[in-house]
Amino acid sequence: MKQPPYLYIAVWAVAGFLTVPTLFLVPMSLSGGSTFQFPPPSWSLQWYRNLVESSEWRDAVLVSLQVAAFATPLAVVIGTCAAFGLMRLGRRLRIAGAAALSAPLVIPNILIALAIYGTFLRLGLSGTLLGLVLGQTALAIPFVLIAVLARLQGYDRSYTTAALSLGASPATAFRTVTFPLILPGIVAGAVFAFVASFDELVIALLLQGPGNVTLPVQMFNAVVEAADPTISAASTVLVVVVSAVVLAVQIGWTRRSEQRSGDGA
Amino acid sequence: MTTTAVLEVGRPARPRAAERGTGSRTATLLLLLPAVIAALALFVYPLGRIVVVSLTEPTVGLGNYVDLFTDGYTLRVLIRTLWVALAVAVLDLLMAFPFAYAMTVCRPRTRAVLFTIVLIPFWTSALAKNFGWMILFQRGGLVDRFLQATLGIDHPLLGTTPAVLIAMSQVLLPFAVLPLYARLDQIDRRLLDAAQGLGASRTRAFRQVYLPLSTPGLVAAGTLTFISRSASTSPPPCWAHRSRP
Repeated sequence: MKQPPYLYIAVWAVAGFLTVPTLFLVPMSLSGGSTFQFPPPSWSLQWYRNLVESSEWRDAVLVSLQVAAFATPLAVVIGTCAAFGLMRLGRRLRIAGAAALSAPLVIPNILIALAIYGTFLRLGLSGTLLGLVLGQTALAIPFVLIAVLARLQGYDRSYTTAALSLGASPATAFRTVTFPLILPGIVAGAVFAFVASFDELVIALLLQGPGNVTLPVQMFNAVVEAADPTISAASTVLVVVVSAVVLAVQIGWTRRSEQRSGDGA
Repeated sequence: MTTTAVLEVGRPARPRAAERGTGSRTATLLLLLPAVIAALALFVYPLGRIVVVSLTEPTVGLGNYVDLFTDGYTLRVLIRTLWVALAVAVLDLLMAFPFAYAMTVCRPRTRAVLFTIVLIPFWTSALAKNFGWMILFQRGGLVDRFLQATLGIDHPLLGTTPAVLIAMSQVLLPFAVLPLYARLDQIDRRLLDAAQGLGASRTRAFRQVYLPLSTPGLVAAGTLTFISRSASTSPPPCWAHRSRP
């Protein structure tokens, strides 16, 4: 059916609205000036160099990677176990349990951050790497839980039953049948968990201490305190890296499902 | 052995679970335990402590809450928060409707592109996004210069309520588009043809048939946008994957 032309205009206007602010980061990061002036007076790679060479920025990237490297696997294991556990409950209990465990997603971050900060301060965890890892893990668990649970709900248990009836031990059935079929859910959950923890500002801001400033906190300080244009290079790198990961997962996913529907036909 | 397995396939899951007895219940508890401990230690206890502190310090009673609503400042902030949330929800619905509608009528390849675009606010770093808006809105920025040149407004947009509204509606637009798309995609388009076949104009068919059918989607999208204004990120990318036809 032919659609009116103003529909196209509206759609591409909205699409532009969604993308434009992010696209502005790239030319900004190549600025040769030392302010946030736009368009930049000249071009250079100085802010990228600063991102790599300045110890402040390099340490922030390393701390963020370190926190994510601990928090993501922790969240993946805890969230995946919980999803399997929930699937063994009755329908009503499962829905209630999933809602309770993913509540952190709807509670405002600042409230969670303040609460955790108050408790960690008393436990001496504030300002430590362990405190950051625990805080980020807690925020990341629901992402894994929801992704794996969605995948498990579409999983046909008769595959497991078939494997068992053909003589596989429960462990073998899990390793060779259930796990590979659930894996896309776990991978998606891990990606969300990584992104959520790598990009988290509020908790990291409250729990920061000397020597464990994460990249988002450093970026926040760069705007609020220092007006340091290195943030534009950091933002660009963040956007490009995260987009690459997300798109790779999405493309892999589409190809997989295309292959599967191809096999079915 | 084989017969029981075949019988089990057809059976609902619940009796099976009950059959396995206590050993399996222990396994269920063990699987859930880490998540429950994490939730108790990192949310329930810290948040509960805040509630207790709010009621007991400096003296036991509702004094802190009375202060909150009578200091003349908090109430104003609260009202502004709700007002902004409402305005963002309305703005997002206005943008989401044509976008979600186009997603239901376009070709699959275009739909994939639109899906990717709508999810951009989800995966771009919150700080990077805000920084992008800051560059646009700052004094001497593109928007500022445009406003000066066209309307003669000599006041940077950065730090004003309209700037907050614009940036927030971008961040939350996916929350409006995805549920709305899910609803619009279910509407049987032949109903529109039927209305037009019965003599209604295109506009009238849209207003009297399509719009009422899309109301549940609009309500869901509006509520979600309004509520999630406070929560920063959420996992709808995985719903999108599931709802994709």
